Amino acid sequence: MTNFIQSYFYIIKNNVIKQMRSYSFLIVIGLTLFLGYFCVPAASDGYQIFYLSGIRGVYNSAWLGGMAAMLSSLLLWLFGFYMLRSQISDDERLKVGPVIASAPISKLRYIASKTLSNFIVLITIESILLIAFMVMQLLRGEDYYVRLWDYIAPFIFNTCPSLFLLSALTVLFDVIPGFKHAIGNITFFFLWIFLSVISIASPHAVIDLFGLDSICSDMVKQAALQYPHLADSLEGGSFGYYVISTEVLTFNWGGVHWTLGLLIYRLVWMIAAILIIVFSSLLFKRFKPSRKKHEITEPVIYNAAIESSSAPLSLVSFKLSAVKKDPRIHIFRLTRAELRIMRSDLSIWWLLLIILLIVGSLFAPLPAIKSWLPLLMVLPLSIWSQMGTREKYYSTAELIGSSCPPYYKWLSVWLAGIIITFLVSAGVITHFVMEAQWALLGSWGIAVFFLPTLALISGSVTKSRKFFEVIYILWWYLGPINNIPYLDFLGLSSNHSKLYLTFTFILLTISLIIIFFKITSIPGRVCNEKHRY
Amino acid sequence: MELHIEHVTKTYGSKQALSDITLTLKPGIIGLLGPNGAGKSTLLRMLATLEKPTKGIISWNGINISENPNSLRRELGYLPQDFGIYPNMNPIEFLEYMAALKGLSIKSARQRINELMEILNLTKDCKRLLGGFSGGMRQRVGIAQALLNDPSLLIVDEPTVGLDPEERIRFRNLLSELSSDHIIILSTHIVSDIESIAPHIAILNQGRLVTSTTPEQLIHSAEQKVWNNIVPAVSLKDIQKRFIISSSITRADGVHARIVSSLRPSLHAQSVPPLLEDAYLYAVTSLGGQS
Repeated sequence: MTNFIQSYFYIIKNNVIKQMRSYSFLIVIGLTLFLGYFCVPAASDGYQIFYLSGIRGVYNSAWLGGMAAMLSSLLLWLFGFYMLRSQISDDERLKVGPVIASAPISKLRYIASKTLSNFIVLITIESILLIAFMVMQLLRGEDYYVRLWDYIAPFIFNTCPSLFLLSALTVLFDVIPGFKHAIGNITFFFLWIFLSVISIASPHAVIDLFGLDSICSDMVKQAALQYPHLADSLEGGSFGYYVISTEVLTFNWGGVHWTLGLLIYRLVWMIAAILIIVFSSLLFKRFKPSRKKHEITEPVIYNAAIESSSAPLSLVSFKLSAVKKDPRIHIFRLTRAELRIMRSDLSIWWLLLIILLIVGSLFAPLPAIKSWLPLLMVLPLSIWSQMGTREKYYSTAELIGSSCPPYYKWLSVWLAGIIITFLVSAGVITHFVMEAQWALLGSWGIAVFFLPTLALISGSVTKSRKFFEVIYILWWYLGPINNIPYLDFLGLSSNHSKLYLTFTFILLTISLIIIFFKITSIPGRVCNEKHRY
Repeated sequence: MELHIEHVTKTYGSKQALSDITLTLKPGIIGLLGPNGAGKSTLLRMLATLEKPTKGIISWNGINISENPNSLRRELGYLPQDFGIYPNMNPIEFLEYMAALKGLSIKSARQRINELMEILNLTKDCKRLLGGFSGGMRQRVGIAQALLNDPSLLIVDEPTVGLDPEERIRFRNLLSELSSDHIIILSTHIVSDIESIAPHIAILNQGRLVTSTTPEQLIHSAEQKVWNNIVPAVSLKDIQKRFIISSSITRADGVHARIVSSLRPSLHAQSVPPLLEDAYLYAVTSLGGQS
């Protein structure tokens, strides 16, 4: 038993160390500390983050502990997922998979250790937020008495169950076939939206995964005792950036009274997480190569020589015919090659769906389909997000870097991305032309340039697909779907084509500067991934 | 056709990976030998235009490749020690992609792809996805892409890793065939690979060029430095601590240890003619990294 616990401890410890030594973890810690400062504004700062009809609690331990629990459930869920979601894929990509598969560790134990490692990382981030809030309580000086239990209770009862479930989901989404990349990211985003809406809107604590209701409704109830008008208000509490021009009214909130009923509701989610772990271990294939890897591709039209079996060594001729080297690189040829690479990742179902949507967007009446048009711009997500990251992901950077000048490579990928985006938009663009919707055509046309440019620069800078996928889904949801002004890059609700044209030029300029520095950078800093770490 | 490396130094922060390397290469095969961490891959990456020297100049036919890397890229074939491939493509699609990157006309590249597939014994797998290839097959695809543009300078870093004996012979024959009008740099740990095809050897150790010579001269320098010593099995550990042992064979009369040492290791030890491996060990241990 001791050995079992010890070995578990070392597996989890190593997983956690691996994650905590990543740049993304450091960035998240930096953001968490900033969040701690930003979310506890001084009375003179003129804004509030948690809105109760212009009233807030005194910055005591209970109020800040409750705020920390609610904030982390809402924000850490999204960014924590994207940060931790590829732990198993990473083992496979870094070729540790076969080593693990041949070790005597069971599937359940492996999956559980990954879940627990992710959970530890998440609660470490949450603990740092709590410490930041404690420091802010002392800095703001509205109540100097730090009651640890007021911080710890919502952390244990509220945050831990939701983060444990999140940890289980990070692993589940990494073992479900087809959910490892863009499709999984999109699905999780909508799951997060769904759970957030339920948590905020539903008064039933059992389906309130984030536990917002148990804290928020108690805050409103307490505030209403001092400010009776709140009792009639339907607004409740909400998070956001609220500008306050008048003096902020405060009240004393003593924290949630944790009843047995509330704790049992939270326990339900812990059990759900355990069931997800078991389910994930059943889905986990122990790094067996997928059947697709052994597939035969469509016949390539070649001469008969390639059909012959390999000749005996003594008969092999090592004479190679000369090749025609062009004096300059043809960008058209390179772009075609990039398109071919992009196409190789797509399934036939994806292509059929695209054709269907192109035809649909061409012939269906515009008023009827206008609100559905943004869906078109989700389908190329996995193509865009690979634009600046493919060489790093597949370790082909050295082969390509020694074969092709970087600016030609960049240009060909950029053009290929624009061509794909244009093809996906072909139906809707034609439709706009047919109906003389020039404003819509202009803004959509600029988006055709803007999106691949944004994707390429995101990938080139971060070397990760996830960054663009997260930013894009969030932007797409807020802008084209929810019509938030300035965020609608497709211009369906409000036309900001000039803004996005400017963005495109700025991104292009940044890209050119990056390439320039890559080419002329100081010795020892040129595209050397091995030595960078 | 000439590759000139002149007083090249490479540092990463405070770590010096290469120090003052000077070497001139002409058509033919040069074997690059050295222990792990000697700086071989760093030197090759600089020759492949992936990195720039901290100090010194690398010039290809008189053109500084740090300032004008594209002058070399058209003439370069490079097989890195570690490389990836795109798993959703078959080898022909992958090689066509590489041909486009190398600026080749696809029509002429197709003929060469066919020939390379045949030579590298990949013909029957040409329609399979690369994701399902074994390590040796991937290595052969890597070799094929390096030879795709008929490179004047071919750099291969540990090329025979994962190849079976027959494929290693094929590859060595191929390099020999190409060596008359190409500069080929073959970096490897496997001394026998170099012995059979490289008429010139450069040895790196601790970032320095130990020697640049022919195999015959290297062997000659180790004469009277290699000893056969028959010792009881229990004494072997003690001898290993005191001397460099290039090989040991257990026989009925004891362990026959082949010792590389300037001094006779014991009164019973007998001098034996050195092999290239002995000479390499002698060069690395005795000449060290002093240029």
